[in-house]
Amino acid sequence: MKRITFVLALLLCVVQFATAQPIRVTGTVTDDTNLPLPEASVLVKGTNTRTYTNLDGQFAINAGRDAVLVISYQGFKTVEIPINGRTVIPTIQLELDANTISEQIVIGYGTARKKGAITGSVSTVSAKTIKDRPVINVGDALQGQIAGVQVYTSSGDPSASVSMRIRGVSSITASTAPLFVLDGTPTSTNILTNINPNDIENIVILKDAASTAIYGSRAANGVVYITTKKGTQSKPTVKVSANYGISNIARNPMRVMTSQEWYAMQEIYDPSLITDAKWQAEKEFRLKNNIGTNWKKWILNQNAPTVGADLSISGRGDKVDYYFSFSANRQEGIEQNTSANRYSTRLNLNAQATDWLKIGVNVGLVFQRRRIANYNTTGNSWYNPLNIANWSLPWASVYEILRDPQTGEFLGYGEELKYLGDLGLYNQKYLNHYRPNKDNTVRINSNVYEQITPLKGLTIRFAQGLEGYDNKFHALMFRTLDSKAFTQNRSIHSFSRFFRMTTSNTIEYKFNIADKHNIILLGGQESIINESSGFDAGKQGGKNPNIWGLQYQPTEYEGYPSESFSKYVYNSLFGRVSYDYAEKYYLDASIRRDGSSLFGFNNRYANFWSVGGMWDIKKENFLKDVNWINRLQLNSSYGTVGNSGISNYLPFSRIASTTSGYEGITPTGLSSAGNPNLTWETIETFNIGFDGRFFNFLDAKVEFYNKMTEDMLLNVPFSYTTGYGSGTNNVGNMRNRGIEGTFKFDFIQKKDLFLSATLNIGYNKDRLVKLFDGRDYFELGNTGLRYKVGHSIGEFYSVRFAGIDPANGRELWYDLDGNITGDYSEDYKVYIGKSQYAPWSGGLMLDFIYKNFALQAQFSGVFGKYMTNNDSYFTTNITVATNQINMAADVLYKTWTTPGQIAKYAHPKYVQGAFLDDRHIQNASFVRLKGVTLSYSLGSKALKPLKGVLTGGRIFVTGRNLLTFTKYTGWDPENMTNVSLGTYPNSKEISVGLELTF
Amino acid sequence: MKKIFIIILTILVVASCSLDQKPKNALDRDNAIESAEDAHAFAARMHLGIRSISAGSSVYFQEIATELFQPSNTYGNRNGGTFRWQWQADFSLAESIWSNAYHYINHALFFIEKTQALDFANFTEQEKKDINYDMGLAYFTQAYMGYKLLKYFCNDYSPNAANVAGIPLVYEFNPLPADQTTYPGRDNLQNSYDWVLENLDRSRGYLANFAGKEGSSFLTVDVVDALWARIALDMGDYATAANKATSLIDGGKYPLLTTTAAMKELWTNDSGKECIMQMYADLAAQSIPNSNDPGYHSKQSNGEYQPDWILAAGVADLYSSSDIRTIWFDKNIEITQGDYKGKATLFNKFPGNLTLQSSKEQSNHLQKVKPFRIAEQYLIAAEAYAMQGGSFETEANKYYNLLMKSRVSNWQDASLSGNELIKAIRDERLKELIGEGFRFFDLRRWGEGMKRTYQMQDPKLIATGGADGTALTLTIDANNYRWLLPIPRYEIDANPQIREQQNPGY
Repeated sequence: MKRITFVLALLLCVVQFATAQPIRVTGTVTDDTNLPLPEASVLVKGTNTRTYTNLDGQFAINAGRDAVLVISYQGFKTVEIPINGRTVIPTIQLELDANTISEQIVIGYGTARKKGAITGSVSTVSAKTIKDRPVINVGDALQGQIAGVQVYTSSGDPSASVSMRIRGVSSITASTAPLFVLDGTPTSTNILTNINPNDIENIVILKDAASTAIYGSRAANGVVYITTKKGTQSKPTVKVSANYGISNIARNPMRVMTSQEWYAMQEIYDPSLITDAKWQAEKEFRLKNNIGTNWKKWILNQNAPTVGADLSISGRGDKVDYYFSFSANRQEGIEQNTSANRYSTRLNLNAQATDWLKIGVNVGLVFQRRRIANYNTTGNSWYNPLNIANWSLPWASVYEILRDPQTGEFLGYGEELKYLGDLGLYNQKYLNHYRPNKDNTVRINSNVYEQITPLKGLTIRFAQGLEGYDNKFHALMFRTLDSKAFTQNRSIHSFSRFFRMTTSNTIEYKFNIADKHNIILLGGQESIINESSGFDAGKQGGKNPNIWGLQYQPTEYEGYPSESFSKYVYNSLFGRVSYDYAEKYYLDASIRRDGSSLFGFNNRYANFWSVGGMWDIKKENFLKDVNWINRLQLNSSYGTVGNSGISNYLPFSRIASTTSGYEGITPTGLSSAGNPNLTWETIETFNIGFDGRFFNFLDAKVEFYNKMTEDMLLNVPFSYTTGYGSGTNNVGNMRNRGIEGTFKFDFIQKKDLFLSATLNIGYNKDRLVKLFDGRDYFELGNTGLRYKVGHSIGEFYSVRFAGIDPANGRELWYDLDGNITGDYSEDYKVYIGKSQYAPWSGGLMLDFIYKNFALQAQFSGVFGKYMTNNDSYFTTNITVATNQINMAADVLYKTWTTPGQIAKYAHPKYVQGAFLDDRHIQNASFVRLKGVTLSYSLGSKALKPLKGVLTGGRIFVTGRNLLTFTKYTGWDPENMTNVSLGTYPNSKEISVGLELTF
Repeated sequence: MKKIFIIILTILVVASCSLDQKPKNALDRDNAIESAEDAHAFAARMHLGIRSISAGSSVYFQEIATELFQPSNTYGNRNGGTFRWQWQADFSLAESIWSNAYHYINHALFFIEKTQALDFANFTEQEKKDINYDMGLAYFTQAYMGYKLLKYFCNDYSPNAANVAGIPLVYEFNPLPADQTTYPGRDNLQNSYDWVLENLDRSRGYLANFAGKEGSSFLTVDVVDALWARIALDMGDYATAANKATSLIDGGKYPLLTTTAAMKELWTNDSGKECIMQMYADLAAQSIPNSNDPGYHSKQSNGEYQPDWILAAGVADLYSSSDIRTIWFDKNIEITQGDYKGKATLFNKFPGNLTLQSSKEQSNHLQKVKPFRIAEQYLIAAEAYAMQGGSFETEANKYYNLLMKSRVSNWQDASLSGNELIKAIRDERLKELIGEGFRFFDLRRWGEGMKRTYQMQDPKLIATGGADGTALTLTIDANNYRWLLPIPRYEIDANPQIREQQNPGY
């Protein structure tokens, strides 16, 4: 073999000698913004002589005087440069190629489309924004990135995902989450915590009907399309990165009373304590010896570590491209006993098997292990760590207090107590120790495709997607040593499995007529099977904590074992026609017919459609010479999508067993009404907007939309004469209307200095348009949720608090007519014009590059968001102020004591009770510095000693949630709910990282 | 190229799946009743329906709204609206009776529809017998629920019934409950009563071979007749009422109790004596009935008494000292209201069956439900004969005296006539059936109105302030609109056909 190579090389030399004398040619390659482009391929045309540019974009190659250099780089137009005897070629600037992958995006089925040739409303988040984040949840990075897309990390639990809303909330009872698609296969929302962010090439968000109608009944809330990476460079690239960080609670909003303040407050409320010798002695003892606990510090983790490590190998050959990655992450929560570990691996492989057959596989495997604490999801539990932090009496200690038996003098602290007598509670850490919860998930996301191109322009593609996960949850409770807190062991195992199989087959034909009429026809067929099943087993009664296996627990645990199963399917047909005339006038039309087992037997099929148009005005002759307009496109679309995000089996009338038996028989009975006519909510969307670039400085994109939800699903009252009180039905309409804008300012674009800012703003207003039976309002049974025509569905309905009467310290409210009254009544509830759904949202991204330094900062904010602060309801609840829990420090200083005083809190003598009236509905608007990254990339000089080993290196420092601006006084304004109590707050992180490329 | 087509075909074949996905691991309308065993289990639930509507708030409503009980200072406005006659269209009791009754009527209809479709050929004799019973139960359930609806929501039966509003009649299980156009409006009273009686008649047919038994927890033909007698008395069909009641009495299966010991055994340990039906209850099986006691006799865990409702002065004195029913009254009980302690006689007909109590220290006043007792039949017979007057008065006196003899050891037979006879029987109804939920409808039926004229045992114990105080001497005319409960607002809102058919006044 060696010999043959040698002979061939010799032959080549001979040939080259014969043609021309080689010379050493050097040059520099840059991208469209004049930044050096490393890894660009430089090939001597007609030969195998090839080199790659270094980090500074420079190359040196031996070539003949008359040879031609072929410079190529993925995503840019390939250029050919004749050498013409030169040894130094002037800087070669590559132009972006709209036809290659990076500038192409997938908008649902069919082959990728040029970014500038899409009629619908589509936004892209690039890999750069997503990587380097010190959290497991990828969704967090999307906050504030895209106009009209609100993303909330509602819980600070490391394994928690985000809640995402695209263009408002379009449904009351059906899902409001977008459809997530991973490399063409629909996937679950929790993909955002189950994917390695470094695997993501980009995330595309589809907002209007023109881009989403092809997804039919699942696209009501928009589509989030995640594309993973593939190998692009012919030279194999190995990347290794690692980061380490620490987290702490993002903000510390509420100050509770110190011991001093607490005693002072008690004495205001009950002046007899001032002369109570026993009370005073105890107070003196605690204060003098500084006995007490900073409960927040005691119960919350400080500097909880997060670590991550990542390896990827990618590259491409003539017929094959590949991307492989492995990553490991661990994040500890700020609440004790919460953590998430994730190990993920991914292989993306594409092979051109023959000239007409291409096959590929994208497969990701994830193992996730979580610790979930027992008490932190129960908002009103005393053992919720946040309630421990707020409520525990400041002078109480977790340690035994040693006193001299004779004098009563303080001698010091003894052991940490298991039972905190001063609080009447067990030590939460002690309890948690005896109740470990373990949860792990194995997950696969796999997409396989076979693509045939029998003739030019015709693509037939078969894709098989599989998403599946197995979850195992083990909740243990051990008998505590004192056998009081927990008197026996208990073990509960829960196993669940989910899988979704998606088969989609598409055929696409691209052709043009007379070079001007470009036409793409797409037809397809898809079927989706979703199946989930689970079983739980639990037993109890064992006394020895070392023996907790189920078989050793002598007694049953009520409700166990149990089993569940659910399956639903979709069958669909779809098609799309795309037409453009000379890349100037674009027209798109799509249609989808969906059938789903989720809906009633009489209404299983529905059709969705859209039409969209786009006018590339810049291409018109009259703008050709208008230099300040670099790009200008006008687009508009109209169409329908559906919402099938509802519970399974709703059409079926259910018969269930009753708990009460009769003479030994366990009877069955009618339980829920079915509705064989049940069908999807339909959303009609109109969208119009423009996208342009002006003065070669400002990119601007502005869009207006109107979304009308029809046949909205609600649990509506039925006549009792049917035997049922209520059931699901298609009734009601609501509307979301809004405007959104994105503005990118390219302040400086130089080789060593780059500064840009991107601002996006979205405004959305939702409004209930119609209910059923001509009703003006409707209250969902026993939920306290009330919807009124003409109002936002998130608007609070509450009694208005009117302050404290300065004359007598009593609480005042407004009655229905706006008159002040001293008596609270639920009948005084009115709509207060404040909604839990923020109308305004936005983000500001700053990008700054100076030489090898890069700084990226991302602010995000929502405005007009309100939330019931149920935490403050407790910490300012005067009815429990006497002795039971600690309170906000504020209460001491703002309680009414003397006539004429303008106070915030009533005197406890005069409180009628604790009411969740509108004083607790707080403005939870916020602005957060969601992410900031400072990085330094190693230049070619620094890398020189490592030549041949290292081709790139980067060090970075990242912060998350470092700044929060809000008026909200509860734990976290980012919580997405109407009432917040003891909800796991977000943390802030600082991490450092290193990335090396080989 | 051939290869291409082979690939295309193989892939296309697998790309479709059935849309018929049924809930597994659960029953739905189609597979709920497929065997005799299924049918029997489905039918059994109707017992629970009958039990639930025969006890609890619908029963004590009738006591609190009338004149025998007064609210204590510590009653906390529990059932205060009922006491003050202030209920409105959103009255929760009206909604609970309405929804419960229709739920079980539909349960019965569904059962009948599905069971009739079964293939009886392969059933065993026992299964056939069970199904017969279950069909009888289904028709009885409809009649019983329908009758309850008629009582609470409609005027009493009158010859003019064809022009009076009845109840919405449901003849078959509604397969499209979401469709408002399928909801029925109110039919007239004549049709409504006819529907009830027709169901009762059918039930009797199926149950003909299920003979009555004292304390039976299951339906028997006697239970059907007992209900029939009650309805006939209501309708003024005195011949039928007397006929049905006397046949139950004369059958001799349900002897009246004559001793305090036996009476105590009936009302404490639920001996089942005198009961044409006494419904099953079992603590271990989590089959617990509603309580008929809204707080007549509340003893706290610390041993102090703190009742919500205190017997009006003089009610206990209606009974002679040799009356075995005096065991229902606990005399001289010390009641604690904060610093004040006062003594009073408390009503204790429902002391609580110990086997139904999870806590043995504090009574929950639960008893097995007794929807039909023979004593009521004596009173029905007596009243039905008395109302017919003339020669029937002898019979009326007979049944009246039979009851009295059993209750009062030294009873001297009375021989009354005319209004005196009727009044004696009515007074006896009050005394015999107190607490069991008859009083409100008795007063309505007799057209007497409701007058609170009783004094207080100890005014310091009674809520005499404000509206409660005024209500202590409340007088309600016989034509007050609140003698009918409101059609629940929920139903009015949900059912377009009934929207204009609310009872007047609400």
